[in-house]
Amino acid sequence: MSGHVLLICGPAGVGKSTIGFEVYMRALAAGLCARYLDLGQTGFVRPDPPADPGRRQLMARNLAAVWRNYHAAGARHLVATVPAGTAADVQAFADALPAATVAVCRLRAGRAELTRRICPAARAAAGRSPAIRCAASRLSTWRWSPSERQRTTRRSAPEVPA
Amino acid sequence: MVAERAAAHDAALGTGGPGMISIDTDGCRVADAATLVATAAGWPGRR
Repeated sequence: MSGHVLLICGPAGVGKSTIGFEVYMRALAAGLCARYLDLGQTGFVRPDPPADPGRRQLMARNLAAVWRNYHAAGARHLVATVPAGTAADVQAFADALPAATVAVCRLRAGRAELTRRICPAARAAAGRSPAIRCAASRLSTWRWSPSERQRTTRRSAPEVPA
Repeated sequence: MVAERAAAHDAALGTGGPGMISIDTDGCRVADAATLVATAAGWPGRR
C-alpha cells in the first residue's frame, strides 16, 4: 500500500494532536485524500497484555489495519499522532507500514514550556471529569491567535477521548 | 508531576532514529509549528 504517512511523536503537552490535526486539515485543503489517526486511542487495554507491555505491538497492528482500511477507501496520506514512548516504539510503528513512505516528526519543548502548558490546565480542571480535564489541557496548551482559537476549539470537541 | 512525566517521556525518545525530523515548539504558534512540520515532511505547508 503505497502512500505517505506522517508519524508525530513527543511527550504529553507538546502539541502532537493539535499540530497533527492542523497538518491534516492543510492536506485536505490542498486537495489530498488524507486521514487522521490518534494512535493512542487504539491502545486502550488495561492491564497490558503480558506479552506486549506498553501495547506497542497492539498499536502497531492497529496502525497497519487502519491504514489498510483508509487506503482501500482511497486515502493516500495519513497523519498519525503516536503516544509517548521510546525511539524503538516509534520505529515499530513505522515498520508496520512497509510499503508507505513514512516521515517521523518528533516535537520537542523545554521542561519549563511543558510545565507551563500542562500545569495550569491541570489545576483549573481539578474536580472535573477526565474527559473535561483532557479537553481543558488541550485548549490551554498553546498561545492561540484569535482565529486559531475559534478554529481549534470547534475542531477539538469531537477528539476528546473517553 | 504530569510535567515531570512529560519530560521523562521526552528523554525516553533519546536522540531519535535516523531520518527523524525534530521540531522545537517552544514559543511557537500552532500555525507556525504546523508549517515547520509539514514543510520538513514534504506535505502541503499552507492552507
